[in-house]
Amino acid sequence: MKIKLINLSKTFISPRRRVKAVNNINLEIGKGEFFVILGPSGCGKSTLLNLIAGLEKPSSGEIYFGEKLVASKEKKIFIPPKDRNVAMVFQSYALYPHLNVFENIAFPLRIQKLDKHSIKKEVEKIAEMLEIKDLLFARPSELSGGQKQRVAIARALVRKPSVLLLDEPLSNLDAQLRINARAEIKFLQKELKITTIYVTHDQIEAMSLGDRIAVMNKGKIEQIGSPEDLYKNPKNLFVAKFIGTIPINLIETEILEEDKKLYSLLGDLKIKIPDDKKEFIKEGKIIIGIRSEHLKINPKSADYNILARVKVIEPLGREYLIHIEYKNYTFKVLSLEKISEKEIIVGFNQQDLYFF
Amino acid sequence: MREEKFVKFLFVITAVSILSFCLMPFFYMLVISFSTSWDITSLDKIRFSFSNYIEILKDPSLHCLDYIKNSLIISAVSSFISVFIASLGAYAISRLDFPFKFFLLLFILASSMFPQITIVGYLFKFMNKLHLINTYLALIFPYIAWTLPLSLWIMVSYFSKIPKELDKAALIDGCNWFQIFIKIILPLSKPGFISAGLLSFLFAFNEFLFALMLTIDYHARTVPVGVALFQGLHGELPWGSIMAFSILSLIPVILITLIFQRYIIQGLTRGGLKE
Ligand SMILES: Nc1ncnc2c1ncn2[C@@H]1O[C@H](COP(=O)(O)OP(=O)(O)O)[C@@H](O)[C@H]1O
Ligand SMILES: [Mg+2]
Repeated sequence: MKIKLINLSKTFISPRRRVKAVNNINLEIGKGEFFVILGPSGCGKSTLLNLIAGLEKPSSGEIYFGEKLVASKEKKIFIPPKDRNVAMVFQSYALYPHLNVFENIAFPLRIQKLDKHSIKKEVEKIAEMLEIKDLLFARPSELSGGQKQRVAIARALVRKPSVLLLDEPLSNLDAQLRINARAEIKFLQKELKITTIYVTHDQIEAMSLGDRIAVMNKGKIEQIGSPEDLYKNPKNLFVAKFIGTIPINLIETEILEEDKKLYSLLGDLKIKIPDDKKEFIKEGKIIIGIRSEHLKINPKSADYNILARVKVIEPLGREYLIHIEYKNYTFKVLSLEKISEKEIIVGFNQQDLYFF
Repeated sequence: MREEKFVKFLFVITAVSILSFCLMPFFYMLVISFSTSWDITSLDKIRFSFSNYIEILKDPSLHCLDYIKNSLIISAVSSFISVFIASLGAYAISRLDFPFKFFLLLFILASSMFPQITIVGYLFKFMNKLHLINTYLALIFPYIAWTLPLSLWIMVSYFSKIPKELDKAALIDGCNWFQIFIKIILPLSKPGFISAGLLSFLFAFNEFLFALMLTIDYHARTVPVGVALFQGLHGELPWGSIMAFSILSLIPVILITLIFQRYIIQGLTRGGLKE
């Protein structure tokens, strides 16, 4: 099912404050797409998901499922969750504590008043798929985190929803389990081809799962794109900072104007500012960004070279993260080799630079 | 090891003394009800017999069984309705967002602290106008009103412990609000229902003042009033019969408490549900 959000907003009003949790969002999610919403905690991800699910009513704007309008403040249309055929997995799993695993998974089917025989068949089929068949008569309190999570997913998938919503479903698992569960969710989604919206604050999770990712901040979408796209072409500082396992190097520099051309001054190094980046200059300053893998130690040829002092070397296993200092700036450099020198030459190319 | 034994010994001694202190009147009641004399100070006069019980059960003019029946019906109906109304109110209070929720709860609690005596006069006039004096309804209505705040507080505390995500999950799974209440909230707060129901039941069963004012005879009179107004044929106080009657009326209460104590202990110690 295709999903379309038009100028969608949600404002929470309480006696003490007004929170614009979702602020004028426009979005189109394709049929069968794995779409990830990524953002720091409190940026409105859950609220956006709840709006799509029908757990919240929009303050303004419209939501379309396919060609069908499911929510519109202006046209006074609101279709409740049960008629949207959405399924949802919550961070706390939200299993019903008084029902065993079988009854938990069967719950949506029982509400639909499916006959006993079909319920049994469907529940067993989905339990087989998620490898929880031997847990069917356990109570939720007897399950481990990973098992609870599987049951929650089984309950979501059992009635073949047209949209699957996941709200930080992995954040209560420990790191090892998370990597496996991640791969499994991706596999299931590709198998079943369900349109999926996945909310997370973890950029690694977002990068590894999403066909496309929307980066959210303070109720607004900063950028939408494929994982590669967000990594290579961050549109602004927020996205650049948020994406990437090793935080991007960011340096605020002064501007120098020479022969009608603009340069950014990194110590005595003059770095060309491309014409289309001039708009980023604010109060005579610009921020330069460069990823640590684009800083090369002792390069054969590079557009710019600096002589820097080595401060700390962090072994990361396969690679080393080298913290260097040049003038008053510090950089992180990713290197395959361990170095022993106190001072090294570090080079980088114009094309790898970001300007914000 | 010896110290441990000593602590255990102290514990047993304390428990036994507190228990015997509490149960003393009950024990006195029991002994008198089964004896032919009510002078407990001279033990040699005490003879075991069922005569008191036979007497009160055989004499229909004493209406002992009527009183017990009235009490049970009035208490059961009023506690059931009280918990039913309270649970609907508590569901709304715990699930809806509206301003001054906490003050509303405090106000409700405050209203339950009114001394009964302040309204009993008016209540009599009121029930008289409605021609309800000496009917079950005359007691059921005030009992519901009187136990509602406590029931409501108990149910609110249980409901608000149930995570809202369960409501959301059920909503997504296709439930409407009423189904969520029946299928999720209700089974998860069973100990709360039973505690609230039992406390309301006991209040109604023990209540004296309203029952005294609003009933006239065995058609609606309840056990506490029945016991208080118990008189022998010649105006004397037949202690043996009174005690036997009291013991009889206690039996259903004790039975109910025993049946439900599992849930009450659960309710008192666990207070709802834990993930
Ligand atoms: N029911 C609500 N009432 C009032 N404010 C809310 C409510 N739900 C969320 N908010 C506020 O909206 C903002 C976004 O919340 P949320 O969508 O839960 O963020 P996220 O899921 O990204 O962590 C937060 O500031 C939060 O305090
Ligand atoms: Mg959230």
